[in-house]
Amino acid sequence: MSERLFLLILLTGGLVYAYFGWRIEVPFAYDPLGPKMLPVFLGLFLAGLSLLSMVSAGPETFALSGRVARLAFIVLCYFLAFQLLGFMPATTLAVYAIARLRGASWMQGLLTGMIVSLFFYGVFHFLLQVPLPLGRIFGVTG
Amino acid sequence: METVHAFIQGLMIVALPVNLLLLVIGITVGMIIGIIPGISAASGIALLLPLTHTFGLAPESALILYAGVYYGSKYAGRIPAILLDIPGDVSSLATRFDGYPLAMAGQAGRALALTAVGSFVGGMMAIIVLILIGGLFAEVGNIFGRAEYVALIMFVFVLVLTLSAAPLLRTLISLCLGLMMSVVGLDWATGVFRYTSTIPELYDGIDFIIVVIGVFTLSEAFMLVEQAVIDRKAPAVMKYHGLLAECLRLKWSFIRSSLIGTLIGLLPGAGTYVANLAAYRFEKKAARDRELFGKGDPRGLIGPEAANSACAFGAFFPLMALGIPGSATTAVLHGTLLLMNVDPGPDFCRNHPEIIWALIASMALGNILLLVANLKLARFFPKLLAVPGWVVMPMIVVVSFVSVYAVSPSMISLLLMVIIGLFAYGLRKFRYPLAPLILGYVLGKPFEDNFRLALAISGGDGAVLLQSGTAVILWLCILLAILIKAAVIRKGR
Repeated sequence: MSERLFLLILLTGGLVYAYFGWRIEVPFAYDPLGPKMLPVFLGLFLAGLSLLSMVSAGPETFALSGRVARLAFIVLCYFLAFQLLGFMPATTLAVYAIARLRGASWMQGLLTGMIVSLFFYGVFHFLLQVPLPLGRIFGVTG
Repeated sequence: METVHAFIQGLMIVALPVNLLLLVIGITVGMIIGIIPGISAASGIALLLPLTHTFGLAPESALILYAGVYYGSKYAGRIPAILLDIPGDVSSLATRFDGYPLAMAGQAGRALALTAVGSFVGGMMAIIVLILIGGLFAEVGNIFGRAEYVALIMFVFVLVLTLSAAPLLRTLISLCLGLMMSVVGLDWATGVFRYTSTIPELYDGIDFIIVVIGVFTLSEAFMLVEQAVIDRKAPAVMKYHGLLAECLRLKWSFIRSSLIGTLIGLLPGAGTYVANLAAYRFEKKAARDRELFGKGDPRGLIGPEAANSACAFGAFFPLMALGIPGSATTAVLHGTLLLMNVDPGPDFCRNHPEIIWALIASMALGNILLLVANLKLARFFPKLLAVPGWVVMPMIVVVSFVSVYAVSPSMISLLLMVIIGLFAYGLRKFRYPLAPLILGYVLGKPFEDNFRLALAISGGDGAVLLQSGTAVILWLCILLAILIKAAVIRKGR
């Protein structure tokens, strides 16, 4: 990914932010500045800084490594599976996949996955009484 | 006499079994966070949040616990820096310059013992200063009205911009992004929702824990997965005899660096890494035989660590007295305390002076415990460093998810954390500093609120910002910092 592309995203983001800031409707003016001024200023400021950086910055780039892409994929899958499969199966699978990514054997990965999911479920459910999802796919909520 | 009485009162609060237990837990967790490379103090504090959120701790207990985690991690950040040449936290950056060569020369025990004493002396110096100025905690806030707060926060922003090692444009973009995130949510004055669409999770703004875990923890996991598996083994740590004699020989290094660290800590806007590097440079300049630095000179070890520790403790003054965090980690600490119903600032110090004294007393006790633990347990540190990456990394991801889910149980919150984490990874890869982003996010709201209120009270007259002597001094300091930075940039060209 090149920094210019990254800055282009920031530039666009800044302009969109400023536009939506401008569209904020104020029912009454309580203070001289109001809620619009800062967002509009910040959006335009970011756009200006990004533009300046695009002009002055060297063409810095970095190649997205395969491991980062795979971790991003695992994290997204973990997010999708978190409620669908429930905390324990989703965590076991995610930990297994990440451990394998970091060079663990399949047995080490699987054991780590099971221990981590059981440990955190125990801590959160029984000790802290924070309900973690049990899996919509199994028809269980909570 | 009044100070002694107040300090003893603080000690009595700390002596309650629950507080003693939390102090020990805090510094132990902090040490583990500091030792394991890849988990910063900021993410460590945020990851602990769900554990304590549900227990409903008393304000003094929460403060003792999280302060312990904070300075415990700063204390232990030197261990991986010395043994593996990987700083556990950015605040131990300079420690590895002389620590690792010393460890490689078979003197890891000496390096760890000297830095443990250095951190202890630095910490104690800062604590003594805090005790001496303890009465000011409640007083200093009295001279800060709306306009003064605007100037003070602006001063913090300018210091962050001028002291950052990253290019100015990148630091500015990072700060701007943090400020933009702080705008999201309900506007107090008009009741208008900004950038919330119809997502209820955003009505109160982007949750603090989502931002901190996304920015520091999840993005750290992406950075870690990229690194090749390090086969570097930590050297064995042998007991060091002759510590006292060497400490006495190097007493001026201890004192100089502790003073530098304390002063930097008292200044809002300069973090521990600034103290760490500044003390190293100062020690090197003060030495006649500076060619020994970088080859395992003990002065290059003691200086940065004493300053780092002194700064970590000293930073509690602006944090508690003014409610202004000076670094990324204290910004996270500030947000965490807010979630624990502790609102750092003049009102809190005025209404609960006993809690401030309990905090100072707990820090004195914690610093002694850290010294003992670091001297006695040094030979176990290599074992902790040997925890494989395939255990640490998945844990980081899982703890990120459950931490966010425990505090804000919704899929939108998790999605926001993932998006922020991926975005922060991009920022890290292009070497955008993250400290300005988190400071902008934490201080953005108080900045806007105070700015708008000051103008509302004065009927829109901008001169209100320069009405008091304190505000004028702060604006002059801002101008001076900008001029110095401009001169440095010009000289660099």
